[in-house]
Amino acid sequence: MRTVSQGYQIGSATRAYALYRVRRFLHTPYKVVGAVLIILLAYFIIGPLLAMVETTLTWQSEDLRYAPGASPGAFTLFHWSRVLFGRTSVPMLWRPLMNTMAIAIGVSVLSLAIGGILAWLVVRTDLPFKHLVSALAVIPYSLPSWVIALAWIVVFKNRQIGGAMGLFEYITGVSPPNWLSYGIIPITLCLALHYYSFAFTLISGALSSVDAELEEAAEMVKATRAQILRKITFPIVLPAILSALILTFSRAVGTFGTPVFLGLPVRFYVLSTMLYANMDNRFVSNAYILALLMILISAATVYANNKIIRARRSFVTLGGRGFRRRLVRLGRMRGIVAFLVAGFLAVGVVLPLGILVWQTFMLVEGNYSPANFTLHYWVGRPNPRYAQGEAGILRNSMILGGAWNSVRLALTTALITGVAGVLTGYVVAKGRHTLIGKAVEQLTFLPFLMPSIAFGAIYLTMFSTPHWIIPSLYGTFSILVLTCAIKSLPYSTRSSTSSMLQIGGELEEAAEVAGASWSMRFRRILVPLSKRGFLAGFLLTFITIMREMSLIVLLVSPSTRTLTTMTYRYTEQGVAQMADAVIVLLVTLILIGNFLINRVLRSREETS
Amino acid sequence: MPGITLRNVSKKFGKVTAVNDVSLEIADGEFVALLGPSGCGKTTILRMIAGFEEPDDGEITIGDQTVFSRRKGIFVPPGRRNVGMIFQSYALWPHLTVFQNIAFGLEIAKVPKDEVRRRVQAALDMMRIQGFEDRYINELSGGQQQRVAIARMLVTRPQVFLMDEPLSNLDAKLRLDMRAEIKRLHADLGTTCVYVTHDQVEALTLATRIAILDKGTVQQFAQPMELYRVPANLFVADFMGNPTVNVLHGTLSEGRLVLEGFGELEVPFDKLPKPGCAVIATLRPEDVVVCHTREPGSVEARVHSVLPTGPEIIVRALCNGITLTIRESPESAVAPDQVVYIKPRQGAVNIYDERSRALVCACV
Ligand SMILES: Nc1ncnc2c1ncn2[C@@H]1O[C@H](COP(=O)(O)OP(=O)(O)O)[C@@H](O)[C@H]1O
Ligand SMILES: [Mg+2]
Repeated sequence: MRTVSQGYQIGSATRAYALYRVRRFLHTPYKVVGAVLIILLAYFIIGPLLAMVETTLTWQSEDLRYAPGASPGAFTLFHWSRVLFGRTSVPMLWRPLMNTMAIAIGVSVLSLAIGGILAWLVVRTDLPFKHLVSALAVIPYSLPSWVIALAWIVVFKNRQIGGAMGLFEYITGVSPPNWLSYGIIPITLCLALHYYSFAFTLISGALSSVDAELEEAAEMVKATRAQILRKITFPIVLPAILSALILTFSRAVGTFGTPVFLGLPVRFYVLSTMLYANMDNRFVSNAYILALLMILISAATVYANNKIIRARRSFVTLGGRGFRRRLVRLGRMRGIVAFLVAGFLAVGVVLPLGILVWQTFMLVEGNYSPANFTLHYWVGRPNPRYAQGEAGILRNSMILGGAWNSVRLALTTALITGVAGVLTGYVVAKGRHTLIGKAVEQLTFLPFLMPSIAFGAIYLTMFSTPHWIIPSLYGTFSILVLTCAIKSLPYSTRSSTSSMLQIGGELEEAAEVAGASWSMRFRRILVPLSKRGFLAGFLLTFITIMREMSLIVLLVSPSTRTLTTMTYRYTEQGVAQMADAVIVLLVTLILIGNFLINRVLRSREETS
Repeated sequence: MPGITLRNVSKKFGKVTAVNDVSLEIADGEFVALLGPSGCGKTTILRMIAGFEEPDDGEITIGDQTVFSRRKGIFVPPGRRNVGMIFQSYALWPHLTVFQNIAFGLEIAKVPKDEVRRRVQAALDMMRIQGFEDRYINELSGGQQQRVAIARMLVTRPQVFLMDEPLSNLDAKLRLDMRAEIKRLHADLGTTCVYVTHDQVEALTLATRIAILDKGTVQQFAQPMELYRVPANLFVADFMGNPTVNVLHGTLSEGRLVLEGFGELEVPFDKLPKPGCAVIATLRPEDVVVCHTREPGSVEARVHSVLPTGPEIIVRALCNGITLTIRESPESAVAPDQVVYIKPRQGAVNIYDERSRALVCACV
């Protein structure tokens, strides 16, 4: 008897404790929000990834074309063995892979060299017009990475591919050889002219956080400039340098626009363009295998980056104090260096944009005489002889619709990601040491590992058919928003986590101890205090999505096209002036957006 | 009677045991300081009392309300414990004015508008920060922010004040002012206070009782002077006092304490523990008597260095290879390399078991 009643008591005690735990869980807001977020994120990120893996491992109905005996849905290694070892594996996988690697390595080394030197000159020397230099140097990074590629085509186009004469040939009379017009060299150069901006930002940030006292201490023991640079400064900024190298590599692996514009005309493929081609031809499982490989490469590089940062973090002396800094005198070199920097910025930043603008004013492509000047592509009425009969872009309802789509997509995404970021950031910050917090942090980071084109590919098939409670989103605006929002989540989570770490800590607890409920704390404390971070993240996402192409190129339909994907279509159709006018319109919108960001952030800084 | 009781409270973070089986009985109106080195679990204890951390085990009561009990499955959230708290960072809301900061808790409690105004004004008067109502927090100095934080805590009339190193962000002079302010506040209101600090002077000057913590356990919970005169173990002896206590190795035998390099000491019969065991004796720097001539029971020492601090002089002396710290009055004329004769003041030596490090015999 006694044992029975004891057993009953123990049972009821554990049950009471379990009930207590459940009650506590439901009264801990970040845990409840976190649990909901984990389910949603798993559904939108892990789910598609698994679906993609599954597709590559089972027979698909389209395989019946060449494997008549296959039963769709059954397990097979056919796709993998075909892509990895089959007859077509060299053009399908290995050659694009080699191209991708070569380009990614070239781009990261070149961008690092350019960005690093520029950063050092701006931060540590008495270079004149520094503000102008850094303002110009960061412009390429806020534009689509393929703007420079379009300008390159205008200049170095040759007539083997057909079409009009390029600027280079017009001036020299010589048609540029293929290796200069298309393929690996121009792709690498154009991408480097974009990504150096990223290295510049990262390294100049690291350089300006180096405490000058560290260098002065070395000066005290009579170290020379070169020795200080080599033995003190360089090792301290090394983590930033390695980070810039690796992250540039990872982005260059996934890049799509530039290899499309400069590679496809000569059938030069990289992984991303091969993925797109496979998707276009409905070789879905091939495309997915390429996507998975790209994700793998990208994940490996990011993993390497985190290792380096973690191992070396202790080096970086990120102090809040403003350092006095004595600048390196360039002396007699000052003029020469300034001239070189100005030349570089002119050629790398101003010239490409100028060329694109110029091109939009040419009635006939390749005719550089003043008589050829026109506003047709801007404001002209439809004329069957030009632009396939389309009106100039400012009176072309399709293009204005595209511009509206771009803005609408960027705004909606920024709003959704911003709100989601506040919630994920809150959970990650509050649950820093708990399973829920870590799970949310890891899940929101996953999209960062996936190259945009691969991410778009996942969503294309995942949401093209009705899926649980979600109807088919094929061709809708919603699928663009969904894709862009999830892909931007890593950035918004990161930035809001850092502000939530402050706000969600003692500032929230002070309200809690005063008896404020969670909704009250959220409304009265958390939201007002995270407004500024929210706005910054909002504007950043806005710009990022405005220039996005590879993420959505697989997902747009005629009614949801954006300016970026329209540029792509026009280039495919060979209407360079229209493509360029669209891109000029887009760049203008982006630069206005950028200007507003800086205005808003600066005025907020002043008031706070 | 809003005292605070902790019974066998433990808390782990992952594998780190932050608080280990802590029991404290804090009486109504007491001012208790939690004192210990960084990382010993002070903040965690305070946050468990406030309700921001949930203990893994044990029971906590405030007044006659059980606010946490693992066994009974009780957890009262912070907002319903009726406690006030000052955070190390002050946690003043930067988007609100001073007035709004202080009034926040009253608004939450749905206090009528004119009473809010009256009570905020009273709190401002009490902390002597009238006229700052409409300023934002970043327009105040550190000391003013501190006063606002205290006013915000007072205004809701909580039954317990909890403070986590409230003065650690202030400079030395302001810290002294605010210490006086807090002491005065406690004298006026008589509210039970739990005050976390790693600064022993702060604890000694403010608290009615001090709990010394190390590695998540309470080492001693006693009145300040008792802690200082009769530390319960070597950790407390070493932690309390600046400069730190002199530590001498020795053995006990037949009513005598033989100290290495320091001669012998008579131990009264009634205080004698088991003879022959290895012990450690402690002697406060102010309890070392310095003579200029040899006296019975004194040993020869050579002055190593002389460090005047203003109101006193700290002397380092070498005595048979052992370094002793001595506190002397400023009039004392000792010079480096001088030979002096020193002996322990009567009844000032505490004896600890070398193995268990616990007190075996006090005031020899
Ligand atoms: N939220 C937390 N997560 C993990 N470990 C923690 C957390 N809070 C405190 N700790 C750990 O618990 C121990 C005690 O911390 P704390 O109570 O803050 O010490 P103190 O306030 O005495 O300096 C430390 O080892 C600390 O690292
Ligand atoms: Mg602490």
